[in-house]
Amino acid sequence: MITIRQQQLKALRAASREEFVRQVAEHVRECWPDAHASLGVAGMRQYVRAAIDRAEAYGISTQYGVVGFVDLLLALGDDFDTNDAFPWAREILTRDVPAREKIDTLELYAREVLGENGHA
Amino acid sequence: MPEVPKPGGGDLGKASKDRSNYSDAPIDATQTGCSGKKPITKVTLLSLAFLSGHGVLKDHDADWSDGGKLYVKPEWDKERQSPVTHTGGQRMQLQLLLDVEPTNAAGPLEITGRAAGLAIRFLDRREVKGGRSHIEIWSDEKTEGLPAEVQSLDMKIHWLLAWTGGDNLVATQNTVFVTLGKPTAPEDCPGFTLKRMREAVRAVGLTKTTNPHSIVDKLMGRFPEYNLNNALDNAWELTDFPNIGADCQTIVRYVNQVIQMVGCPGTATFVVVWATANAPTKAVVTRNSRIPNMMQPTKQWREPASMTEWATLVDLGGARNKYQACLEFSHAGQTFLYAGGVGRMNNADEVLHNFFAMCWANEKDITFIKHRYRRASSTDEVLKKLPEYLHRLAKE
Repeated sequence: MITIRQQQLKALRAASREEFVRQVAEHVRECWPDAHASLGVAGMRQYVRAAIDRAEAYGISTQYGVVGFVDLLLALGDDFDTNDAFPWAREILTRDVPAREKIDTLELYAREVLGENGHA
Repeated sequence: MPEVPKPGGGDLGKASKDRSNYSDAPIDATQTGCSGKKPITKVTLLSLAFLSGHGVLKDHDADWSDGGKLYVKPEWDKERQSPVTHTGGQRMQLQLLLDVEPTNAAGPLEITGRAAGLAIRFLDRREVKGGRSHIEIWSDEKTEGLPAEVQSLDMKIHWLLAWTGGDNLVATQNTVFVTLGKPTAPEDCPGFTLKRMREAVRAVGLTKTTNPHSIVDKLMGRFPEYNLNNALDNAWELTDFPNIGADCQTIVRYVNQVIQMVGCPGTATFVVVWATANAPTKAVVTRNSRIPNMMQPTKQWREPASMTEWATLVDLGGARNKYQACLEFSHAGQTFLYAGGVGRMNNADEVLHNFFAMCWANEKDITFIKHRYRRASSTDEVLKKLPEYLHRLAKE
């Protein structure tokens, strides 16, 4: 039987979190190349760490949820959650629903604003 | 504090696809979980959103004023079935939120949706994983799509969710207001409320046509005469006075608001047609305003020094008018002036010459016919409003 002490577990979680930050930064490089280019690798990782903190403040702490939150920051602007132009954003972010549902609903509205919901 | 990148420079749709590789595991999960997948045991439709709807409708239904809140997406779930507006004759794009059980399941899912009474079908087949996931689905292009005619549909879609070893049948229901395009509104009367949309769709639906000029003509035809005693600030209220009618400018603004609400193709402009006393045969057209006109900014005085009689446009009913309000409507290279309470005219001169005459008048009486546009017959009401010494001039 292997016993993992609390300190070891904490270290493992920190490592996992950093690995996740790296993955999100790669996601940004792939999907938001301009934003990634403007901040560089280190700057983008720092940006993602700050975004994780902001997402957690809205109860979003899943991998899918945080990636979605970062996508929305980059699509609508860094202040989309407080910007009066998107009054629905804060209302949805503070709903008592799973993170995935928040992100998917926000994306619906964002795509409407960005004109990505089209007709055939 | 990290530097902030500018928004944009990417595609949310592409980001969304890439994001689907991420799970609902915590960001600091120390293991990725069991790789063994279980067969699907149940699929539930949790919600439905109309992505190709216009997303502009508000829930205000108490009166004709603007107000209320936007109907939020998704438009269908167990607690809420919101109305939507959608352009007719186009394919529909929906988003389904599915819950696949158990959470570690994976397997093929076939989705079939059939709209009751309509030739609209949705078909999709894909691999799904356990847990909640959104699926975007277009109506089958081999089917007809939404009808092109403006109407209100009680749209019931029967969904069959079929997986290996089971299926689930569920129905969704929404009111769909079928329009000719994305709703717009004149600047002076914004607001896509439920009450207004219902009225616009009903009124345009009754015209039984999708030809823009015919729609305007038939809507105007509901008011063959104007009634100067009923002038409404909010022209939507005209709906409540189908038999009384209203003055020309109310009728024109009502028709303009109705056609814009259903996204009628074409360019519509509110205009008033009048003339100056110095040139009574030359029509003056003022766009997007009821000012200037015969009375404003100053009355056109017969004798500027005495200022007791001014020019007015008298119709065959004997009523005095400051102008004739019209909807200048252009579509497919044709432009007509639809005069409120009168009918379709080819140009402003024709509108002006529909009046009986430009007359001088004081507070009480019409005193003189300055220029007669058309002859009055002995049955026309205007003769009762004219002094006898003008009767011969009116009829000859």
